[in-house]
Amino acid sequence: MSSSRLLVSGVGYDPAVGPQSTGPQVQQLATSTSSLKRQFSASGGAHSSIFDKNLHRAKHDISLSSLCYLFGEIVSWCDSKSRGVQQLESRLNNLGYSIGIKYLELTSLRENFASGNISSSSKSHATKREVRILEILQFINSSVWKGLFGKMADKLEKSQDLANQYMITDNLPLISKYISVPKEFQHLNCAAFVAGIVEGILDSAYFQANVSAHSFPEPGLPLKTVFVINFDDKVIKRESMRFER
Amino acid sequence: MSKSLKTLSDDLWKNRVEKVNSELFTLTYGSLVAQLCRDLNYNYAEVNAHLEKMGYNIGLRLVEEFFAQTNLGRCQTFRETAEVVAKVGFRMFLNVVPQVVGVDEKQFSLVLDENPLAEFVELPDDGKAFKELWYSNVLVGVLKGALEMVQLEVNAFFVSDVLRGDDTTELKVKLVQVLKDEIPVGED
Amino acid sequence: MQIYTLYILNKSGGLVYHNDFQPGLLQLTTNESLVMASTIHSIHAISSKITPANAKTNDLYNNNKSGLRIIETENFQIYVYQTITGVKFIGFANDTNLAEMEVWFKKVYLCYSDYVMKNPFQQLDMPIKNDNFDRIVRQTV
Repeated sequence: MSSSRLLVSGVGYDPAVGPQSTGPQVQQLATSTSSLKRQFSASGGAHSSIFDKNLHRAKHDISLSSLCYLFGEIVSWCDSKSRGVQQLESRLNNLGYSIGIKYLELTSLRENFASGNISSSSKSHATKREVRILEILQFINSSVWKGLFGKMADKLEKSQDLANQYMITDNLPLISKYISVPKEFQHLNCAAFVAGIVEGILDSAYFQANVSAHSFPEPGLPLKTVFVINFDDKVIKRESMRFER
Repeated sequence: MSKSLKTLSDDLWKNRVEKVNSELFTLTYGSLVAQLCRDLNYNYAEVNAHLEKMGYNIGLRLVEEFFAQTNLGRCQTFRETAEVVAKVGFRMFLNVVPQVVGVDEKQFSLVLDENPLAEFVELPDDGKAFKELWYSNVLVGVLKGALEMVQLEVNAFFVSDVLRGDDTTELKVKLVQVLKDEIPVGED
Repeated sequence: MQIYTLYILNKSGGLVYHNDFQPGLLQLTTNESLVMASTIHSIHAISSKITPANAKTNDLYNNNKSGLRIIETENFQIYVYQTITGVKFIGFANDTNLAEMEVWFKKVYLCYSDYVMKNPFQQLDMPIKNDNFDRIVRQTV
């Protein structure tokens, strides 16, 4: 069950090393989330490789329906392999996670290409990396949400009770727009998948956290979802050592 | 006929379809295929079958939106079906229009110059995937499922894929039979 | 236009959805509703058989080319809309006409294709229990 999570647990952005895998398990992962370096050396085969293509491509839109059908099948499939709501959510979370760990690299590269920080001729790595909790969360709240869902998230807050807890609110998560959860699946929120994406992004940015999705229906906003982000204590500790002097 | 199909699908795409950046779709499909490969121990024949099954389930559902949005009636010939699938179906859901080639009353092929499912995908370099995995096999299932709902039993399969190093990505559809008895009464 | 009730029938004539839009309607028992649904389904099929082959249909969207479309009583009418895939939407209504009803059916069909077909917890051809769909359909009335 947790094998897929185990597989990716070694991957992350280690500031000391750079955008590379950090764990020993990564060899098994080589096919799906291998490091850029390996991928580049693997290119140049007989057929034209994806690495010859421009990363900064024109935006292609598709129908939201296609995404919904695909996601619906994924939910059914995860459900068929799970016993109980918790397992189902953790499967969805894991799938999202595998997207998240790639997505940060992709968006930040794109943004830097766009703003001219990186050019193909120079080796400069003027890549801006968010180092504060609030900055990375704002980046997710705006850039990531826009890139993935075409809109900003609706709210970003800090918990008043817990120092390590933050919340991102989406009043209508695109991916679960048409999903109606039956009563016997109490508390299931399929946006667990999106929570997994956020978790993957945070982990790969070296802000280790657990992210979960919770439904907070309101009149007029029946699908309102709050993504609760609980950072590891060490992240909080690091932040206070660095910035709260 | 085909001109009006283009007008219809242009209008649908512009005014009716809710659109989303294909990137999330591509990434989601990628994470699904990758997970299936792991779950099924890189047995690609099983992965293909599973993707087709998922596509089939999608096809059974997606066909309702197709008709609710297009107001199209039943196709009179299989040639017409080919045109409608490529020019309206693919356009409406994936925003690409495959070329229809090799079409007659029993079969047609769709050549996908663009494939949103496989954008930035590279198959596993394990010596097997290039020969055995049909990465976009979900599309095979979608076609089977959707056409079955209009009583066309078809056999569909990929014959080539640029991901495998082929020059084109081609999906072949063969008509097995028209399930005449199952056409809903009053709808002929 | 006054729409009282919507039934949805699956391909085999089974009642999979029932929603009353007006307060204070006289109710059928569950069993009577099922009988009503399957009876309409059967009459629809039978009447289609005796439709002359050259009969002209003046349809807007309805794919129901030859089957039953309206049943009239003194105080209300029952309208039948069938999709190409064989799903039937049945509307109990008053002060309206076929053309107007078909525009409504069309909207309901879109809601159905979104909120029912895209819900992974909906099994095909099975009863529809879905708060989102209830709410969205109600907005079309």
